[in-house]
Amino acid sequence: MLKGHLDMIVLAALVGGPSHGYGIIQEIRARSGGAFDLPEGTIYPALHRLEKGGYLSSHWATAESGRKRRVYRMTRRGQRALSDHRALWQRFTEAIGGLFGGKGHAAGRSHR
Amino acid sequence: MQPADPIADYGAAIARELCFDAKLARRVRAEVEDHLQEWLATSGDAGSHEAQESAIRAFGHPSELARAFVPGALASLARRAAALVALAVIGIFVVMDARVVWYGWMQWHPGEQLRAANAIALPADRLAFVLAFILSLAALLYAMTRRAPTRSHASFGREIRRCIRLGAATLAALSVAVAIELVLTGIRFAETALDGSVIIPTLSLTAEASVAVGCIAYLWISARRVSLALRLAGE
Repeated sequence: MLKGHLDMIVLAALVGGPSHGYGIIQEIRARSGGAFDLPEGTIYPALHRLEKGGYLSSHWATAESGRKRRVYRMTRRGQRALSDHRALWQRFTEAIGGLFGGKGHAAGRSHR
Repeated sequence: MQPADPIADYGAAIARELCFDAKLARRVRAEVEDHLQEWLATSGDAGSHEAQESAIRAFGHPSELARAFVPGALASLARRAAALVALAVIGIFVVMDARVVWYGWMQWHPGEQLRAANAIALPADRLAFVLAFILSLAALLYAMTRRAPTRSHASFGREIRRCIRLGAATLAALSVAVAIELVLTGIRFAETALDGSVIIPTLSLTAEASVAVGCIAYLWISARRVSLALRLAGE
């Protein structure tokens, strides 16, 4: 289910503001109602890939515990990509809704 | 004897797997260790050895995690190597031209022996340099247009190796051009009385040779890192 969508899920988890890897995983878990319970190790290759693509930027910060922590923030490019993906996803769900519910596109075809 | 620290051991194991990129290894290790410590702190069971082992298990095997970084690391490595080789070609071209301008400025005209050597060596020098320029451009374009896949596969590995080979071919042609320049400058020096004016050509030739040797060393190290990364990816 997650295949091919991980990058966008990670970007969506950063809409609320900058966060670190653990925080992003928790955000995804919480906002998906536990449906997307990602294996912990999958997040870092995705974060690095998104940063290389210019969708995220990152910097080292110091956590309250005193540990060094990498914090990720969405860039303008990331925001644009997320917005595009959201619009695409909206069209897709409407189309699927039409197919399953027999409304929308299906109604249009019945007038022919 | 120090107490066992499974999280530090796990971080060290990931860093070992990522030995093909020391900077990436340090960063991933720090991120993973912070992640695991945070996981333990929020689970309220930070001191328990079992909790640490459980957190590590949830992260997956170090080699599996490291493997996911291979495509991105290799794409960056190929781009850096190609860019460095292209910069070396441009840099050496500028230095060679500056030396020719210096000779003109010093009214340092070639003697009979140098004219005879130039007749044979200069066409070869130019050919080698043009070849180096074309190959460096091809390497740069090829490296810049490679897209790192989510998971490394055989064809991506071949593409990265091709980038390294193009870089090696560029440096071979560039080395020929620099070697010819060394010989011709040696003949020029032998023909004239050595004074302070030889300092600039000597320095420029030393810089050219150093850049060429430095690039060869860098590319050799890059090729080794590519091999290590592709071995980790199972190719």
